[in-house]
Amino acid sequence: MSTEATGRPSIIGVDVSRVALYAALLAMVLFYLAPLESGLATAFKTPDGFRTTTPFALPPLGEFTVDAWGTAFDRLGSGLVNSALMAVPATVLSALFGSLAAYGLTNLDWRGQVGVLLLFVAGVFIPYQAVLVPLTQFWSFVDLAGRLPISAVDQYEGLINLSITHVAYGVPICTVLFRSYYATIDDEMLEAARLDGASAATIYRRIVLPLSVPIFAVTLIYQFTQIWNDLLFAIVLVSDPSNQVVTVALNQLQGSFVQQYNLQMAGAFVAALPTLVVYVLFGEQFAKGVAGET
Amino acid sequence: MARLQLDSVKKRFGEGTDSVLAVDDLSVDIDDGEFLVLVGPSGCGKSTTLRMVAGLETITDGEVRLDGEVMNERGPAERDIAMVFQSYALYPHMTVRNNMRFGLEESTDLDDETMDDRVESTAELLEITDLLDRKPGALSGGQRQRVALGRAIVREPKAFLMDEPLSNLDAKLRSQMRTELQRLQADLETTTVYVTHDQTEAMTMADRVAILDGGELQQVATPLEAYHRPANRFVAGFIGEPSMNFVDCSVAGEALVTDEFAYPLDTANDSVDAALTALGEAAGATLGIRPEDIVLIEADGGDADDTHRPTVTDGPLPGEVDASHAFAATVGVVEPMGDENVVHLTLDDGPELVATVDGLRHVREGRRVTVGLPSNAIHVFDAESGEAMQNRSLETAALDTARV
Repeated sequence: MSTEATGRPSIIGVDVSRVALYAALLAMVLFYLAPLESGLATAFKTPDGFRTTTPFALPPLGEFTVDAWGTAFDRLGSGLVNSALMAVPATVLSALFGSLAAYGLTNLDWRGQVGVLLLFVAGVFIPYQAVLVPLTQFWSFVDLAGRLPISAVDQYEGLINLSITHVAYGVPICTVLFRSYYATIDDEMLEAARLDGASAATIYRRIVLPLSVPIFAVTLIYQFTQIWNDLLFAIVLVSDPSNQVVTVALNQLQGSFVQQYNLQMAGAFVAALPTLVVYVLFGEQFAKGVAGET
Repeated sequence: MARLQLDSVKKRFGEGTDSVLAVDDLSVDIDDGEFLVLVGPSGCGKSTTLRMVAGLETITDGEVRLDGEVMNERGPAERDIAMVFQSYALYPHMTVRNNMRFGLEESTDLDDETMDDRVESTAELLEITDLLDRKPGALSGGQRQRVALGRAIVREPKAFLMDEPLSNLDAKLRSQMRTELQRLQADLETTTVYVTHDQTEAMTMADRVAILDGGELQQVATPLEAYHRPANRFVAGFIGEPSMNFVDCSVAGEALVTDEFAYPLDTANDSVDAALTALGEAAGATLGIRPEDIVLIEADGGDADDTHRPTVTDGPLPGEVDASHAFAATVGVVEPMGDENVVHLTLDDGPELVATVDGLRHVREGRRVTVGLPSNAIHVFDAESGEAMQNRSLETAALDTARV
């Protein structure tokens, strides 16, 4: 055994510890990707195919099909549209409100702001289950369609209720995220803007908001994933089948007698697709936001 | 352009027993077009004072008036004041042009063309025309400083406030910008309040300096007045580099004494006599003398190992140094600065002094010398209050010849 100048044992110039490191990393990659691979493989199998092979094996010859994907798209199509109608406004609004609240709580000075901030922080920790009953009661009192006699409101009442609920539930965590970012903004710069004659609202619009792009990316991705993937509020608050969101529709792909694993797997991928798209779109900004760059 | 008055301004942070008095009863009257430098050690309340004038801090008590109008209740936007910050505080997402335009857009009703013209001409004045379309991130520190200045100048405000604007620059750039700021201020004739902890900046730039310590105003005077006629021991020690030498003494008869050291006062001088009377017998007094006023006379062959104690007869004493004001001493550390040498001295009678001598004059460490403390160059401070009882006389301009 020869020892290199670095002191690490090596065999014919190959660093053993490095080999071990890569082996361990590869094992972890395989471990974490296995469920994904199994899902994908199953989604492309015929019912016979997934019954006769192990989940992670590739579809055997003659048992390959894309039928499950077609069915999944058919059955989840309206759910996807409904989810988008509900999640996009909810995501944008909760991020925007969170940003405004954080600006007010971080960069402006007023009495009692610590107390208000504590309320926001407490809001982050309220579990969904704890508010289910009061929440359903609340929405049964508030007759949105009755108050706003517009056909769109009537048609999408369930989705609007769900969307508003998600905004309200998302504002605290968004505020906390934005606050940590806004705390790094140079106070002297905001003071300079005040001396330049800008009002608090103008400072937000012309200085703070343009500087918030990275943290907006973080918040948008986070909130969109949360809201899109939510099942609990969607089941409880939306009763009208035409307002069914994709997570509820996906849940119903589960057959009562025969388990169609290929359809369920394809459906899961279809339902997850939009969140992946959002990551791709905002990924670069997301990385900056997490790194805390301004 | 305006007259800026601070009338008994006070600032208290916090309430009750935890409160801190940051600025105590500060009154300064700044003339139209004057360049006033607020100087003091960190934490002396100078920045707080500036921020009160800007409207970024509330005023606990007293009044700030701009052109006779009380500013206390007005927001920073309504005061027509521009401020330059230490961190430059530029808007990073805007180009230099938009940084400079921002204030015009927010505080004036000028049309686009006029704003563009103002920005262009200000940029020309500051020689930053090439940088107008760059963002602050692509500029060097000195360039950012110019943009920050430009942002203030372009608004043509009644007054400029500058909070240590040069302290983030390197030494060479700082002295360049110092000269340039003076030129700009003289051209624009805008009332300026400039905060710094650097006494060199205060001395070189100010029309008048206001020296603060512990939230209290110590003296407002022209730089030379503050240097030669300091109001108290704090000002005397703060202004000037190296600082004034202080020897804590007590009054005994007609002399200031401490242990073995005794400095006979020239009671023939009326003001000295008055100071002595005011102090009274056995009172504490501090003797002060600037390093450059100390006369150094080298004794022949006076090396460290030489036990020969030089007397005044060993070297000729310049006319104004009385024999009783000459003391034997040993040279300690010598710091050559080029134009002058900073010489640390230990008097045989105890006190340690710092003197400066001409840079070409060779002073060796360990040498025995005679130190002259001319009576017309000394300051006497009340030990208790620190108040100056006697300042150096300025009539005898012949002092310069004493620097051998």
